[in-house]
Amino acid sequence: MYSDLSKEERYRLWYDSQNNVYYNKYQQVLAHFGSIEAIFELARSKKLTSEGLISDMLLKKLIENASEAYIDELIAELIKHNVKAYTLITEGYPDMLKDIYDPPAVLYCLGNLKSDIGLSIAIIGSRSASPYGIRVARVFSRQLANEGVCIISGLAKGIDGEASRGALKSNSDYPTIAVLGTNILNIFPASNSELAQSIMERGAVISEYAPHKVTNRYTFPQRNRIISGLSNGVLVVEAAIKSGTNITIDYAHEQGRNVYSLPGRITDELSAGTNALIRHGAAKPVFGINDILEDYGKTAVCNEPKIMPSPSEMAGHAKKKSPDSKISAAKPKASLTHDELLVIQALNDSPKNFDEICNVCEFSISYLISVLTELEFSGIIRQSHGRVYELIKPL
Amino acid sequence: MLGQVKSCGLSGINGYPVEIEVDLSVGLPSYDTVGLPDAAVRESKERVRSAIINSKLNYPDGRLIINLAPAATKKVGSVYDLPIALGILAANQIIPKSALKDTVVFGELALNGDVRPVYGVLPMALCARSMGCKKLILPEANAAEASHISDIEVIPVKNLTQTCKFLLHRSKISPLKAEDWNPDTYSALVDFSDIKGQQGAKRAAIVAASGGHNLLMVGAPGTGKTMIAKGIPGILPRLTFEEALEVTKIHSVVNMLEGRSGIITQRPFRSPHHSASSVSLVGGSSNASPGEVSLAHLGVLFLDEFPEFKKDVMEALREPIEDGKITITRAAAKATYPADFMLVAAMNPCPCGYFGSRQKPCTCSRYQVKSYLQRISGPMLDRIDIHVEMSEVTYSEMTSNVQLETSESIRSKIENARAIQKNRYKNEGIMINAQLPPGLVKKYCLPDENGAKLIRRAMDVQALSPRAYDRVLKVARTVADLEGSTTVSSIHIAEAIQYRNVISKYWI
Repeated sequence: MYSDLSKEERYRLWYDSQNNVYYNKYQQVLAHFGSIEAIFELARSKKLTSEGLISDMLLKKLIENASEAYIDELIAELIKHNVKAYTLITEGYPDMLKDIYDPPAVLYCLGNLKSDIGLSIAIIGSRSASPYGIRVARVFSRQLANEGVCIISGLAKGIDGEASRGALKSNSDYPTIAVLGTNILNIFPASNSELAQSIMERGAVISEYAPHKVTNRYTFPQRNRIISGLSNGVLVVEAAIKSGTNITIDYAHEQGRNVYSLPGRITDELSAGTNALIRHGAAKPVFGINDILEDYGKTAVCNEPKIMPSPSEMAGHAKKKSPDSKISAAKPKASLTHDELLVIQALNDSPKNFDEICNVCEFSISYLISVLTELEFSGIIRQSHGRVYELIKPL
Repeated sequence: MLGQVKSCGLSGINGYPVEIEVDLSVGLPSYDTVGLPDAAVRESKERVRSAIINSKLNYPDGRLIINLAPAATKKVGSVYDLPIALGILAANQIIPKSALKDTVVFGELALNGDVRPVYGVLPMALCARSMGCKKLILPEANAAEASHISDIEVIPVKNLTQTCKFLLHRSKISPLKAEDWNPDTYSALVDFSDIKGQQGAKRAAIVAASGGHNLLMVGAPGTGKTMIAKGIPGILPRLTFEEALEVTKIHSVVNMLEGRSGIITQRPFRSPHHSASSVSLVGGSSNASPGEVSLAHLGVLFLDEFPEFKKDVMEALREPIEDGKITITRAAAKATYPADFMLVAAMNPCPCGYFGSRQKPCTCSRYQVKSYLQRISGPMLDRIDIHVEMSEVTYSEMTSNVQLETSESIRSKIENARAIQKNRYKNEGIMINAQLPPGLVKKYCLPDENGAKLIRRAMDVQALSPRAYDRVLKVARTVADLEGSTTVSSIHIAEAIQYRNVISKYWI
């Protein structure tokens, strides 16, 4: 893509590589000088002055590095790492982003970026997500992607990462875009680098920061404007009252995007933020992907999450033979014993830790342990940190 | 003139005979101690002289040579004050030589002639018995400790004058008889019925105690890990007399005996702080003294905040855990101490303590959590058979008045389980399931048909490693013993599997 770059595009890459990582007066600079090419020419002849817009440090760097050879080197580096760069005037720069208040001057991309990505929904939430959040993020993103929606997320651990994973499980040919808060060559967190690799294969990993640019904690919130900017709507899966997610939501409101929120139990700290959004009318509650799709004139065929049937129903169904269920594959429902059903009943309203189950069921401890092991192996319940057991609900 | 007195020295936790020879010859008054005395032994010169004079006895004028045989072994401490004084008096013909025949003497002297207690009395008294001596003269304060040894008369003495009168048959001192052996339980710490909630962790502790397995508890701060650990000595079987002697020996040589009975009747509970050095934990220093692992012998070594221990300290623990003893070699000394303890370790899942908690959010980064957990090495985790996660305790549980099983009744169940194990392994030279070598696991722990099926399923579903396989079988054997079952069935296997899955939740 670099062979047919226009002069202006080349100079824009050059200017961006010199600029610092913070919000800058890019639009004002552009308006004042007319084009970046003009700045380059002034810098090359060492006549460039700050005009109250360019910081002294940037000015020094611009004058120092104003040469065509330098730009060639820059581009060689991008080619070496297979990074595509889109300036605001390059074809392929997402149209959605051009509309926001401060679009990134250059988008660096691994994978494929399209100017028209179609309907896109950002799925965001807490980094320390609960099993509930993780499950919904995965399922909703997979279902949405199957409907042709592109999922935008931040590749963070927790909800963001799960959203990407879910989207990759779909059969969509352009399932997801991940927006980094670090420079394009520095996948953060490193534990998600494998995930990033699979995103690149089918979607795109993008960043507004050039390779080797040093980013910091302030670049992550700055990046959030791109997440909301790229999306038609933003779905908050889980967030505490005070959460970085709020920054994205503020951007979404500013940029006129729809905000959706997943309701949770009122006692869950991680659902406090999402519930508050709903209470204040700042977001639309989402119970299934149709709540989102209907706003864009679409409907999905099957979207409502299945609700776990009560244990007695499960036992009843078993007699009637229900063919397509994960549980029946692992263990026939009919073979659930009375005591196993009691445990399932105990876990039905909420996950419980070992002690709580112990109090509810009143089995001997060793017997309870063996019942739980049996259920766990049968894929009916699972154990998470703190010895908390929960039902695996077929969503 | 020559005076001879028998005494004992200490090497590790064993005594060895020391012969004290005093030669009084005509010449200018002088006093020399030979036979590798340390500073404390050399200084005894002044104490002995003052004590003899202040006891209104005759201190000889002349050339005194004190030899401590065997001459090539280093003698340490103040135990030789009293025998040297008696040797001088014998050489001076104040007390007859025959009076000291078949008698072992030790004790420190005060300047006024009083006899002060020393340490290491039990091993030295055992040595006296093996030397074939009939009588043991020792400080009154140490007498109770020595009295537990049969076939030897224990004569407690208060001061030098009284000792002389006794040896001259001018007064009588009745030999001290031991109180009846009365194994006590660990009364001072926590009773299991006081621990509300934590049913799962308590059960794990009971299983661990039954088979002598090491235990690791993982949980948020304030969930009761320390309380359970403190309760464990109270549910372990009572010490037998032989075990008590062994424990007392170790505590005796580091001068840590407390109480009037002179013998340790309770299983030790040691909880070194996590700033401990490897020397303080496994033993060492120039005289190769025992460390915490040996002081916890036959009891519980509780390591709270396990990952906070230094890396080298943790790794140093591996050998004693495996072998049940520790050999310490220093330039000047070498000693082997028993270190057959039950390791109970407790830890938070992350630096802030709330990783995975439902009540309080964890403030640690993923990386912090990972590096915190990784401080515990794989081989270390492998040596701990039972891992258990604590539940978060709710207020209603904490304040409930339900009567829970007392340590007393739990202990009797555990004693039964241990008896079953002892009987089963009577020809194998081991006592408990935890000691089973891999070869014998297949012989004694084979599960029945359903149990085998379950364990196969576990390998499929949970990726239970082959290494964990043996451990699961061992623990399942213990669970079965606790329930009084001869076969290892699926219910026992199911429970044992639960004690391994903490690893997969946190470490992998």
